[in-house]
Amino acid sequence: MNANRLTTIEQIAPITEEGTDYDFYFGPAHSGSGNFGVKLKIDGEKVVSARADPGYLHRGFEKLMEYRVPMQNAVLSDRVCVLEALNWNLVHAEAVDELTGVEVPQRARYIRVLMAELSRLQSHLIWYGAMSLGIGFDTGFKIAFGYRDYILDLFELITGGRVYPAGYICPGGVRRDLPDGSEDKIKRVLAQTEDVMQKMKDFDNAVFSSRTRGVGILRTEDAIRLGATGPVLRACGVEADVRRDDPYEIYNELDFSIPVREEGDAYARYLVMGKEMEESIGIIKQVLERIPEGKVREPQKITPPSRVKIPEGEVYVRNELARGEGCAYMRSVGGREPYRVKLRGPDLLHMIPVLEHLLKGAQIADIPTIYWSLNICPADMDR
Amino acid sequence: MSMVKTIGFLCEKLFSKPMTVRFPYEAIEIPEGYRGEHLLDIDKCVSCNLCAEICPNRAIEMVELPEEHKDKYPKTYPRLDLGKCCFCALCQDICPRKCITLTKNVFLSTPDPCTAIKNPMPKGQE
Repeated sequence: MNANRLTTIEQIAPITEEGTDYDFYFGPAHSGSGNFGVKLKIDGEKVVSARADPGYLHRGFEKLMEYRVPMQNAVLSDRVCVLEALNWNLVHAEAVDELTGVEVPQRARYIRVLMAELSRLQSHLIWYGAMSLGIGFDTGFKIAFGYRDYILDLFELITGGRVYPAGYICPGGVRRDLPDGSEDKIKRVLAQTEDVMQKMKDFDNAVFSSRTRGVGILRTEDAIRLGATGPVLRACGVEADVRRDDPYEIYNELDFSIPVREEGDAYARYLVMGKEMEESIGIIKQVLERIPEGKVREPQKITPPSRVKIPEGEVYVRNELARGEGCAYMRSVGGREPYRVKLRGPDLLHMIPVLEHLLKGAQIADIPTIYWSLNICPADMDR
Repeated sequence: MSMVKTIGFLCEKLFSKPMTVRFPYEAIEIPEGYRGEHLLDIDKCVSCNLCAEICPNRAIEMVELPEEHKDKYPKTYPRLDLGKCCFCALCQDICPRKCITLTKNVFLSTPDPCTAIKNPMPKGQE
């Protein structure tokens, strides 16, 4: 055989001085990224620069809401973020309540907080599952999603749907009362959630910490400068929580603490998530003890769209969602529909400036860990 | 010690019930109040148009019945397009006569899109 005719690797990919540089696309057609992409420039194994590539899930909620009455918008607000639909229901309902000046019944306020905290629990389980998947720990993913289904069973019982509650938390209260036997079922599900949290702690040292400790460190000043909120900010040592700083519904009557970590890495974010789940369980138990009897909605019947009138004015409300701060600006000029709605989700800033900042200088193997440790949701970012 | 614990855990799980069920041979029971397929009872309908008005997806249209039923049902009645429906149950909540109710039936997948449209028909002829 003539050795000269052999094709060598040097002939196919000649080594040059710039040979170790290449472009790398993380998403959007990637099982681990969601409907979102990141364009990366890599040198060897190291990320040189990262550019977020959003826009694959834009549905135009802000415009759609200008053509619908508030009750229809409540149904629409589910879809803003699939993973925490009830929390977005609450943001929308609070904005409308503040505009219309409706006095929400006390029982409805308790049910709203109960559902928002259950939603936070299931969202954090998704976070744990997705983060596990990101580091290649499939067992964590399966266990988290399996136990999340018990919470979805509760949503099915209370709201009539597993993932989309169809505006269960609506302007004026909630759409229907808790069904008989739901309190016992909630307590059972809380016990199951505590069970999965124990499992998460058991997995912690062996698998989780070795892949997440020291990865994606976000310094406090960077977190504030880039607009991080929620657990991402709290994992950088800032004690900021809308439930405490600007209480809404009945949060000022409840006793809960705000977990904070100083490290700012992916592991700190995971620890904050675990502590927040414990706090949420505590809040739900307090709500179940104190929930009063009474009406759940004011007015009790749905007003036909032709008779709806939103008083003139503008409001800005903010809530603590599972991922960070969720806000709604609503303006009315006295018509049936709002004149302008602006939704501010936590993920736009987490997924563009914060993610780009954290990915710069990271290793390729750490990209999914950093990505999922921010508890991101492309649906919320694109809206 | 941790290996003993792991083996004990594995043995326990070997004989415990799985988290999933063997669908379609068995299924998790759907609770009351689930938002599934609609049930139309046009005998109760007063043609108020509220369901069509509140529907966020415009999945409901008020239509007339075929000629042979016009004597008994002279007004317009809701026709539902399940392909557009988001199963929010606003139509059920706003209906003053409980003409539309959402049932627990979730088995709605169909190869023929025409069957996703529910026309208003007298009882027994749906």
